[in-house]
Amino acid sequence: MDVTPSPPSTPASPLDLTPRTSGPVGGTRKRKWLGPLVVFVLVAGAGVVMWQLLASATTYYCNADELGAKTGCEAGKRFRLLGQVDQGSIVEGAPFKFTVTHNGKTVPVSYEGQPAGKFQACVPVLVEGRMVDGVFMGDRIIVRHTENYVAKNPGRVTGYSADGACSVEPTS
Amino acid sequence: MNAAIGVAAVAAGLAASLLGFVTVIVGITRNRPRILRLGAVYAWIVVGSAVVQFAIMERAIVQRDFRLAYVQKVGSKLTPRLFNAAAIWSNLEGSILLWVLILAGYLGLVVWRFRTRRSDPLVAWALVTMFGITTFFYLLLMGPANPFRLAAATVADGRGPNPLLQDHVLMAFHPPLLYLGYVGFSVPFAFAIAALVTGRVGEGWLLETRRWTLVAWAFLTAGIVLGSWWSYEVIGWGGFWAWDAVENASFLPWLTGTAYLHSVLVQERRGMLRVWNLSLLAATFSLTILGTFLTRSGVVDSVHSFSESGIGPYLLSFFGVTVFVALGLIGWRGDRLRSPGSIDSPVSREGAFLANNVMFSAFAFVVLLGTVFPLIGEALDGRKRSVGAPFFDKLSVPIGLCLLTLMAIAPVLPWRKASTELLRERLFWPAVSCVAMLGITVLLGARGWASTIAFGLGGFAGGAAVRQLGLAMRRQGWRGVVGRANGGMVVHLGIIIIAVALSAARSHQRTLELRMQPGDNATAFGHAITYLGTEQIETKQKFSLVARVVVDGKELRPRQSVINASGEPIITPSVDTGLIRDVYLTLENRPGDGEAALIKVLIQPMVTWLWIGGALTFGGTFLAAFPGQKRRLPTQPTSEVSARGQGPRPDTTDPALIGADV
Repeated sequence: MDVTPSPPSTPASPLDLTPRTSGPVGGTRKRKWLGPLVVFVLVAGAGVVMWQLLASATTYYCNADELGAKTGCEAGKRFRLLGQVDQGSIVEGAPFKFTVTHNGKTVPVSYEGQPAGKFQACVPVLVEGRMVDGVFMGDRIIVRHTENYVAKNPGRVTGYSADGACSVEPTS
Repeated sequence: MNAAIGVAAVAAGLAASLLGFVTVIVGITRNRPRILRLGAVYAWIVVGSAVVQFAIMERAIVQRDFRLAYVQKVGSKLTPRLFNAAAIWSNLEGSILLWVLILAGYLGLVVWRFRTRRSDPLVAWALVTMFGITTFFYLLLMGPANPFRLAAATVADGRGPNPLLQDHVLMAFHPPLLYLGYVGFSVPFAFAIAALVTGRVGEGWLLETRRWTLVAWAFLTAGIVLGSWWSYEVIGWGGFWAWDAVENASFLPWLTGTAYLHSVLVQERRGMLRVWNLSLLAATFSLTILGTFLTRSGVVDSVHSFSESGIGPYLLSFFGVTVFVALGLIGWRGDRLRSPGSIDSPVSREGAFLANNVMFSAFAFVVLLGTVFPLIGEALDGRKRSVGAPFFDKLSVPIGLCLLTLMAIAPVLPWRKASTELLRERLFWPAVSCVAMLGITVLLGARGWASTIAFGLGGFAGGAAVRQLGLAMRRQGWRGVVGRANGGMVVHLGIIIIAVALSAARSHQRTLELRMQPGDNATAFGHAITYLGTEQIETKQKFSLVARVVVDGKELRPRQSVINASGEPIITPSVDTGLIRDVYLTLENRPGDGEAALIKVLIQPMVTWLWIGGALTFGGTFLAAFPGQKRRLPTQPTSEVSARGQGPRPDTTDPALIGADV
């Protein structure tokens, strides 16, 4: 039986007590790199996908007077148009039409469907959609709250104040 | 009178919080048990003042005491009694009052629960942390969110709460339940900080806070589900989740909290993931603060029309302090937080929990990124923007599917390592259930790859949960549904039901707009619809225009109303609820005499199962919080001796078979 101890790594020490690596050094190094590399590739891939999704799902807010003037507000891009519904501009029907104004610039809006209850003339609205041939084709309307709006007249519920005067100062 | 008592209560609460904070620190650093006992007295003063200030504000609202600015903001003589009482939490200041009331309640419970261990440094430092948190919220009540500020001029009547907040009984339950969840995470967070300060970072503090965490999680879940339900029943858009900033704010701590509930099991069992668990708890608590900041400071546009206020910088600073303290302590205790072991095989219970944590963290990251991206972008280029639902939808679907897969596989995996034969045997019936579910849903007309896969995986995960519950109940009878592992499976079933219902509702909803004259008949998706006409109903609270619509012989009454106190309009849907589908009607215009009504018909499949799944999840969490067949041995009160160095026990048994608390 061979009981000869394995040759010491350095001639100076008779017994080597340092822990030894079990496999070939090259293989361990390879595996050491593999894990972080896979994680890096996965994280980088996920980051790119996330960034692209984020970019495609981001809609800018554009005031009516900013159309074409700011990035994200160009024709064909999806954005949120901000403006006040002009009095007398509402034309009911399919599509539902009205105009919004901000800082003196008026934009015609065509909306698929019927705006929900809070929509009426003289309120500031956000319309989401795209500019096509000079008309903003909206598919979603968000009506902003006007804190000053006080109406104790229940009859108002039966019709739009489309042709009425803007009795309150809208806030944008 | 109300203002004076309220201000006095707030001042007393702030003083007691500060004194409690200092007293307990002094008592613990100088080792004076008598001083430590004083800390408990201050805690009860905090509880008392929180109750008094809340009761006084409620009284002021009920009395319509319009001398208070807050009552002018949310109170009205025209608001019905229930909604008037719930109006207390319909705006910022009252919400903070509710937050403080619940926080003080948790503080009182901690003091009472650990009454025999007041001189234990772990408990004492947890109290210090909780006093620190109460101090911050009392500062808010003294300063930017003072609810007892007197109005500049009195008014005859106020505007009442936001119209959406006075239209459904759920408003009385959703906010308190949500806050019980949010604030509940303060307790495990306080113990985590205490563990770090005392250096007792072993497993003791986890056992102390297991039930507290479960209870907080249960309430947070219930709060989120009830919020969705409220949104569905009140807002009139037919949906229940819009990835709105406020919703995301509640979902973020839920995600990290859920990750924690799973990874904590790995630490209890194997002593691993200590830093990770502490970080998750710190993240959960910080995210409740960040969420409050996002929704209450007005920095993010939200469909929830909360008022803007000057509270933002305070909350952001507190968020910063929380993160800084937690990370600083974790860094300081880094040497004690080293893991005593490592994962032997990825195909093991701990491997599955790790994958679960990666998924939940990725989910939380996605939601956080989408929520704060408009803020970051605006800070960079000054442009206002929003991130739409497609971003969240596209990323949450694959993550959700991965989580469903894990829910199927993880419960059958043993700790340490699993063999192929074992997996084959235990996954047989879940796989059968997966195939059966796929077959049934495809036959019933399932469309879309994501929802079809979700149905199949729902069957797979459901099969795994039912298998474990079945085995446990065969062995232990009714006790087979209690205990951590089995109660956890009930929770899984609830979540699976929600996931399947979500897929069905999102991918199979149908909508149609009908323009109808009185007496007109129409058919929408196989449902016979007759429009009878409108009627006007006037109450003290509101004026309503109600459309009378008969759907399959049953009359539904969608309406548009104007709240008398504020003049604000509101659309209220009418829903015929069913187990298979809901028929959801909204009146989209305000037709005059003889005019056509525009009625939107929305068919929402399986929405009811969202609420059923939510209830099952809530109940299951409490089943999981109570011990199963084997009563837990009295654990070490402290964790001075960590599990380091103790060889983990190999485990190849099916937890369901032994009915153990895993």
